[in-house]
Amino acid sequence: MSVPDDLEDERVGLETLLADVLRATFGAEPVVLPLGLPALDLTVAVGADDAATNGPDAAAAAPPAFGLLAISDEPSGLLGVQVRLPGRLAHALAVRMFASDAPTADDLLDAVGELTNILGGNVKALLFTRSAPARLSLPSATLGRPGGAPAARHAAPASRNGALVTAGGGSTPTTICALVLGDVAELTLIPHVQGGDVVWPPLLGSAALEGQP
Amino acid sequence: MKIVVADDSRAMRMIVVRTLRQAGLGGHEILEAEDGREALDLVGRHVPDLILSDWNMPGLSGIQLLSTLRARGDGTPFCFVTSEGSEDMREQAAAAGALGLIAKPFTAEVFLDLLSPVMT
Repeated sequence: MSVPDDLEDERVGLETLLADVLRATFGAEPVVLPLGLPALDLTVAVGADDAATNGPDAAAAAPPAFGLLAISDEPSGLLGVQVRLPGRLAHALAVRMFASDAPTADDLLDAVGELTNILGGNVKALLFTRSAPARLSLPSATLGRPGGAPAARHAAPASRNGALVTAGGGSTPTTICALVLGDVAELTLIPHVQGGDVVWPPLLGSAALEGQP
Repeated sequence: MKIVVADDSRAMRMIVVRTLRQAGLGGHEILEAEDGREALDLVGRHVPDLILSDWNMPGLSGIQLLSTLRARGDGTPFCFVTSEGSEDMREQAAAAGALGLIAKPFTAEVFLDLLSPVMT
């Protein structure tokens, strides 16, 4: 399958995928939210006191974290994969992944980047099963400002691999939201994005082996 | 035994080591590498008994690492731990000489099933 224009037909599969990955990575049962439910309002309604992992106050006030990568299926283009976690959820993820009560900003970026990598790999396996040449980029992660524009997120100084994905072509993004540990995680797929500075792993047989003993 | 764990994510390297322990496969010397090139260097210097490697890494990917080792006649048991678990990837891994491919997210049971034959 090539990069699709409309991913709504894949919504059920993507919801299952997001729930499975969140369950495994957070160790908690996620609830996929119905299409169109305002995620921000629901987060507020659940409240900080109900979260299973109450981090420090700083975590609750922390800016959201974003993960980005792209799946290439040339010549049809790139499918952008974006993950958004509220600051408290990114903190909880890093706490769990690093087994540390006080993860650093670098830890958060690494954790969110890895979650994005896992989600991207599973999206590729779900949508591109008959397309062997499809490739997964390396993930990038940024700590953005609440309500900031996409450009501001990408420009955040602390990023992993420095990848950029910018939307283009007018294709409709598909967003799946799930409630986990009292906060809403978002997975957004954006058809036909432009690659920008997306970082790709080397291909087998590429010049990467030159100079090896 | 010596085990090389290669992944560009420090979190994932920690999770792999933790999962080995949870699977009852802990207690070994772990050598961590941030990418395939560093893993190749570690293999040359330490002669490990097992390599657990991500597939997509900057510099030198996991499949390049495996192919380089096999081309040198190095048959160290090699298992991918990667976010991509499609049949295509599993076939590529097997054709290149990998013991198997563990798809993220994974469980301790999967580690035990695949790795216990070469670790016990």
